[in-house]
Amino acid sequence: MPQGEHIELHRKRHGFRLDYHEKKRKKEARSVHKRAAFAQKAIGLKAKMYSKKRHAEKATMKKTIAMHQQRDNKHKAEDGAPQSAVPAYLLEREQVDRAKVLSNTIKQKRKEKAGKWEVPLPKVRPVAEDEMFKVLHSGKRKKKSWKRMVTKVTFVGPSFTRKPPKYERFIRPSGLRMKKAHVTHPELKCTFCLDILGVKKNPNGTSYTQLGVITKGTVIEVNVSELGLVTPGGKVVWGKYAQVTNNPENDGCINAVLLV
Amino acid sequence: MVLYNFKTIQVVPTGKDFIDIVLSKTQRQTPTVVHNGWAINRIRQFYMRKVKFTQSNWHEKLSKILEDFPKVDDMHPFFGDLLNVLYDRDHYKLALGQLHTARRLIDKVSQDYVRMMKYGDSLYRCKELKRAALGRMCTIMKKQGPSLAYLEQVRQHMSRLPAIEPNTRTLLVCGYPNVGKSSFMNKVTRADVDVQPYAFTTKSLFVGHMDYRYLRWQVIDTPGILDRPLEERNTIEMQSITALAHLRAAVLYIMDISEQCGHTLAEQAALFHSIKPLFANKPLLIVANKTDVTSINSLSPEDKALLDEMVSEAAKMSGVAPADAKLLTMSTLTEEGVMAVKHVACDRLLASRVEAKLQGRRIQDVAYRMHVATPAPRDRQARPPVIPASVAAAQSRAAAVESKKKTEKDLQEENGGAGVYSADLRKNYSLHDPSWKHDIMPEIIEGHNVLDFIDPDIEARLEALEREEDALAAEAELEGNDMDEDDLTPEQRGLLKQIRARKAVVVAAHRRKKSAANNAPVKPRRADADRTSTTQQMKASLARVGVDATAAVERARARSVSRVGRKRLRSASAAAAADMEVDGSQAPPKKRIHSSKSRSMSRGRALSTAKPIEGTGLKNEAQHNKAIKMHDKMQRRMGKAARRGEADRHIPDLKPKHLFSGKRGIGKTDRR
Amino acid sequence: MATRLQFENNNEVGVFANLTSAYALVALGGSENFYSVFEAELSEHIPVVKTSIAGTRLTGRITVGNKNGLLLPNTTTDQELMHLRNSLPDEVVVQRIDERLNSLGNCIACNDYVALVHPDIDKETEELVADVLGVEVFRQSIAGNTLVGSYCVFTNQGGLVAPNVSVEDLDELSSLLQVPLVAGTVNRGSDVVGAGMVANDWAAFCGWDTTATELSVIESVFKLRDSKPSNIVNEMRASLIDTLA
Repeated sequence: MPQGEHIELHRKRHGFRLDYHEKKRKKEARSVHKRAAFAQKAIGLKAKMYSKKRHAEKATMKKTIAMHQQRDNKHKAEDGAPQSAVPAYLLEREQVDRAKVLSNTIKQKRKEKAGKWEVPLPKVRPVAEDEMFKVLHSGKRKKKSWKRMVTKVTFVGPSFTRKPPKYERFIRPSGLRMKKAHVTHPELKCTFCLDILGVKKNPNGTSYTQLGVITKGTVIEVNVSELGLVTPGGKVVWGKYAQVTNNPENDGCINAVLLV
Repeated sequence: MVLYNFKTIQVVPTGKDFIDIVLSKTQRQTPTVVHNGWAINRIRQFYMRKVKFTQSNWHEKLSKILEDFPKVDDMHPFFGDLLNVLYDRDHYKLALGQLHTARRLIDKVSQDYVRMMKYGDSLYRCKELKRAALGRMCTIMKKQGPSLAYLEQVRQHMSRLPAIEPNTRTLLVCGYPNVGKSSFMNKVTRADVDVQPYAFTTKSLFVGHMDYRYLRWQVIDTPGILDRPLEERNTIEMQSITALAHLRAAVLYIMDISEQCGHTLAEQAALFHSIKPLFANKPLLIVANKTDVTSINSLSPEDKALLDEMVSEAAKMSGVAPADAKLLTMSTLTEEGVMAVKHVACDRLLASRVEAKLQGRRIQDVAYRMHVATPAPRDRQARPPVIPASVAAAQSRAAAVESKKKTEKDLQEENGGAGVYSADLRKNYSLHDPSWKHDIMPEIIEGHNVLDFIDPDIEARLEALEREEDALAAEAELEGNDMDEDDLTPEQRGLLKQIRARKAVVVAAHRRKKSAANNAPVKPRRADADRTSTTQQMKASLARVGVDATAAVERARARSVSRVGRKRLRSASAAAAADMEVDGSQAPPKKRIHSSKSRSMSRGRALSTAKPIEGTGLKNEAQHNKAIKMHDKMQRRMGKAARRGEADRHIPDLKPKHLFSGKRGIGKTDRR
Repeated sequence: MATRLQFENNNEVGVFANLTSAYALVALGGSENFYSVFEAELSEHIPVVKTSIAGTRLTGRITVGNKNGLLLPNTTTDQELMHLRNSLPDEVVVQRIDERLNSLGNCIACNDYVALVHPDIDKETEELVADVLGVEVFRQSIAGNTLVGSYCVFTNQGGLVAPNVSVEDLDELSSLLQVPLVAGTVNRGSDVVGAGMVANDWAAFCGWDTTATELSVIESVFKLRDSKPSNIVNEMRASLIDTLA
């Protein structure tokens, strides 16, 4: 016992206060009512947070209770399916099982058969031009309005050099340029932060693809050399496509799914 | 000197609490209302502020934690090692390092998102960006949960570490478990350490303080040490080792010669020899405890030889002459020898510290403090101390009996305490007559400050004055050259009488005037009931002095208001009036300016007496006056507010700047 | 003997009290605690007077006196003057003086035979000090500090001087004052010793923070309780070296 622990020292020497245990018990008994009172009174965010917490608590409580009562519960017998001959009235169940297996295999096959460009997000919301671009006014009297600023996240290659600003039609602001994407490998269920190599296709149009605009559903090429994927031929794959699954301009980062 | 007080470190919240604290602070202390119709810049500003505010909160709180927790490398090596033993230095550094990284990452996130928000073109987008930013910050901190929990544990433990000063005068008590280290500590200090009859009662370092030779000494009680290699020692023992290794203290190696602790003398000697390197360059004392059970003389020759060997070894290590080295014995039960041990240890340590300090450079700076300047006699004059005889008597009496006199403080406590009790300031006056003590002495009498007139020597001065007067009188007597009235003619006598009477009047008047001084109010003539300043009087007094007063009287009468009438005339008519007066002819009756007699002359012209102008729609004079009054009333408010009215002077701006500057735009002429 | 005390949580005892061999002046406080320490110690032998000076509580810093007399600044009110005259014995001359440097306690330090005064003090004041207090007067500064009353305390038996004075200065000062002197501090290292403590020939009072070492230096140099100044050199040397160096 270190020197500073005065309460513990006192307890060691003189024992607990006479009413200590009584008080503690009462406090514990009261705590339920206190919690109920709070739950009834709380409003707004606090109430929401509290009920969420309480819900989680209750769920775990139910689970533990169930676990404790497992022995007493009635539950279905293990279906160790008899391998031997089965009565006719039981054949159906097995068939259903098989059907399930079959359907899975069929699905697998269909998937393989389908086009190579089967992507996780087959449909995207079209983005109108005025949402994509902001018109900038130029000229001495600011009456010329042929300049556009891209309001979405863009990818600009490392070799890009600007045109003279006076003649530049499309401005891609440096604050919205991104070089990295969080790419999820759907089979490994892992996410990696990878370098973007280029924009393969923006579903809204080729001009956007050329500009390197990244919106939801855009297919980008990422550098997967870190992942160490290998082609059947034994070469290391370094570029792979991925589809963007979020709105990067809203989230401040690019999330994508690797297309395998 | 650095103070090692770890009690001031603030509580480190757990990861979840930390997030709640910061987010709710953001919610509370930044504006919460935003509308879609606002200018986009304002919306951006609103959300940027939230992000920046949250970031600065995190930064502040993390910096506080990083600042509070001591850096292992900056601390005294004793505390550094103690920290290592108790909390594992690597773990500690790692935890702090992670917080540092988290702080940097949060700053980075905030920077990025604020930059991105500058391009936000809608409320929704800005809001999403803010949400993402706060979310990322929280995620970073969520990952710091274990570090924070660990630091909180460390903080709680550190705040209960004893306040050991590593550089002060210290006695360090060490030895096998259960040999009586804590009992010794309890005897010499007031630390009140737990003493139990089993090994390892003391599980950490304990500190106590005592006074000796005007100085404050620190006594550190260490947990017992067993004789085994360093690697096998547990945390409890390692604390002792740390203290032994790093504190420059006098070490008391306590031995239990009764062997009640369960270890033989041989074992205790073996431990001494194995931890010997830790004692190097420190005053070291071997103390044999529990002499009440086994006296030192009843030991076997082998044991004695063991002890002697240890003592000589200790003497050799601490650089004491072998002749001075001797085994100290004590019994913490009977307190026999405890004080002797304390004195020897303190003296030995003090001597070694002084010796070390005499080598140092600082001693030169303070040498003069040890110097007592004794005076060389300047002259033959004796300058004895002034001590009342009662003092010596009281001192000898105080030694005999402790007589408690009732002080003001006691009275105060009896009569309601401080703030209620009001002490009598006059109680101890030393006056001729004690009954005068509470006499009320006025401060001011008749406008005079009494104390200005108090002169303690008044009697003597009065006497001197009287004596002087007598002397002067006597002198005059002697000379006897004063004029006699007898040799005056009757005419002269009459004149003298007149002169004296007149003089008496003048003096009396002067006195009367002087008594009133300048405070006498000037009496207006109207109130002059006894008519002291009439022309008659003037005439008489001038005549008395022998001046012809007729002209003066004439002039005064001519100026009299009652003769001339009121003088508020137009200048022309006044001049005419003056001319006429010079002529002496009768002036024609003056034309009255005001037609209405009922109006007082002193009245202002607030009310017009003129008839209302025809066609203004006002029926009569009364209505006219009312209209004027109402107008005045309106005007009054305007005047009070000092507003601009149409009657005010106004300088028009003939060429307003905004209409005459700049080029014309494309069809923007309308602003002109 | 030396006593430790506080005036309303303030350690600067010399600010709130003035002690001589013939009387003691104590400031009026919110409670009687400070006064009673003096009262218990001294009231059998000399009058202990509770007073304000010029309406302030800085009794010790704006007055100066010894067994012969007491000098007060010209801001002292008539009532205070009368109170003091009534309370003090008749042998003590109480005098109000017109002096520009009216914090007399800071500018003048004296015992019953010698006084040190601020170098800039008036000629008349100097004469008054000599007449009223019956002392030899020296214009002096202590190690460059002109406020002699703040930086030294001395009685007929000995004196304590602020610690920034050299050995030669100390010797010179000592032969001027004809008492043994030592450089020291009060109140855990405060060098304004005049404000930190008051002393007369048989008693001393210092601030609550004064350490045991400081206290024993004070007792030795003022020869309280049969201790001698030589103790400082002999017995206390080791302790002093250990605390100071």
